[in-house]
Amino acid sequence: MGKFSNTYVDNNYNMPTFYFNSGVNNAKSQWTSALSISMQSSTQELARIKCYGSTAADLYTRFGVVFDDNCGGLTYTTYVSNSVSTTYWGGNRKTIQQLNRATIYVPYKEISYSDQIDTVVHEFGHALGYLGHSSNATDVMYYKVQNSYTLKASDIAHLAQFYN
Amino acid sequence: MKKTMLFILSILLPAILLISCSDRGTNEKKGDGHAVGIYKSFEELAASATDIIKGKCIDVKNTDGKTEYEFSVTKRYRGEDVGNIFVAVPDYSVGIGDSLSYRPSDIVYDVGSEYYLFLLRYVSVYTEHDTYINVGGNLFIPADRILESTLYGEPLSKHSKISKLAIQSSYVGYMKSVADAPHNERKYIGSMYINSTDVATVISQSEFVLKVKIGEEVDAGMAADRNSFKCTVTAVMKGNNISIDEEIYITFMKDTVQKDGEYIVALTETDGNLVRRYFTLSSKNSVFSAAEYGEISDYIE
Repeated sequence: MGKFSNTYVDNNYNMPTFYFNSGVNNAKSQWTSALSISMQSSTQELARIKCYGSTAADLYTRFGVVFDDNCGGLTYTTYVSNSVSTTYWGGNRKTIQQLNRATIYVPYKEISYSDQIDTVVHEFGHALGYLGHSSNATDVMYYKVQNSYTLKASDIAHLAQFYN
Repeated sequence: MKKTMLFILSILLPAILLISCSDRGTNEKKGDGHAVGIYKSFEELAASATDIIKGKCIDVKNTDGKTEYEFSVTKRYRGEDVGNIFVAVPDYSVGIGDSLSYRPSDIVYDVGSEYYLFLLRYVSVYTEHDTYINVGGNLFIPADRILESTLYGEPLSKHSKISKLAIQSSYVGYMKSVADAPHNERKYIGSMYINSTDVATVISQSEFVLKVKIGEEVDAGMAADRNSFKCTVTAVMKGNNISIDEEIYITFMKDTVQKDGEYIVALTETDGNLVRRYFTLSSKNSVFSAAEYGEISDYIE
């Protein structure tokens, strides 16, 4: 796993209540600090993590990606063969994988600022290798959108196994 | 001899390097899609559905790892009647915790069986037909086995106001009341297109008809069936609020235009609130050569 994950960010929805950019900045800030990695801005072609935020219609038209109504954000990954590992943390079984690339899609939804930020921070966790979800309700990597978007020790410790 | 060895090495060395690079390529595997879920009850999902139907599964196709079911509609509760519909099961998983999680592809519809379907309709000129997906969760309601209905892999009654599903006749009544309840008025997601390939019809019904010069490709490699390009408007034949030399973005069918080429295109704007102006083709016959300028002009009123 590299110590860097160059990112490309494309926000194409001009809506004051769409906090995608804030979410990306918050996610990058939290994860780089937590894992001691860097995330430099990059071109779309070279980026290991690509992030697209817009309306569901725009994302569907440009990329053909569909979302059901439960989806807050969606991350597709490609990973290194045979790199999926199952580990235990805090009594819960979790999985990590060594990623090559990841693409994050965040469709606009009329949800709170906090929930939108949480969604992007959560999806970055997947993009960095966190497979599946936490069963701890206070974790950002918990299964569903929640009010808190500050990474918890267990969120960090899980991925730190790769990055450290 | 020495020259022969050098010649052989010059042939073999690039080949060895090429094989090494290929090996690195095959080390990458397509992963999974992961989504963070926003919990919704059955009634909330029903309120978001564009289409609610009772349908009979008549065919199933697996293409490029994607499964698509064809349904004939036996009863329509909501949405536009478009004949048979095609329900896709997207390739991702949505986290609803260790105990509640789902994959749309978990659902298997049996050919010949009937189901109640709560769907989102996606419309795009770039696809062969409209795509419908389950509005959320693993909402699974077999018409002849109502008691086996599930949402998030659990009994539907656990995520619904329906107290009991034991009486099928009351369930059908509840279905109708759910469909008639206040709901999101959207008819589809995406951009509607003109359902004709007749040039006169396409031109007369298109919001924009522009002559454009194709610039750099954007979002390269992000979709298998389409390309998007930054384009420069060289003539406005039809349409308001757009000007010559303006840079816009247009998504085309895959490999149908060339960079630096000039074309006449009939378009629809994707959404007025986008940061960059993205346009979609207004029909499946909306790209013409620049040489057809005079002919196309004749169709514009």
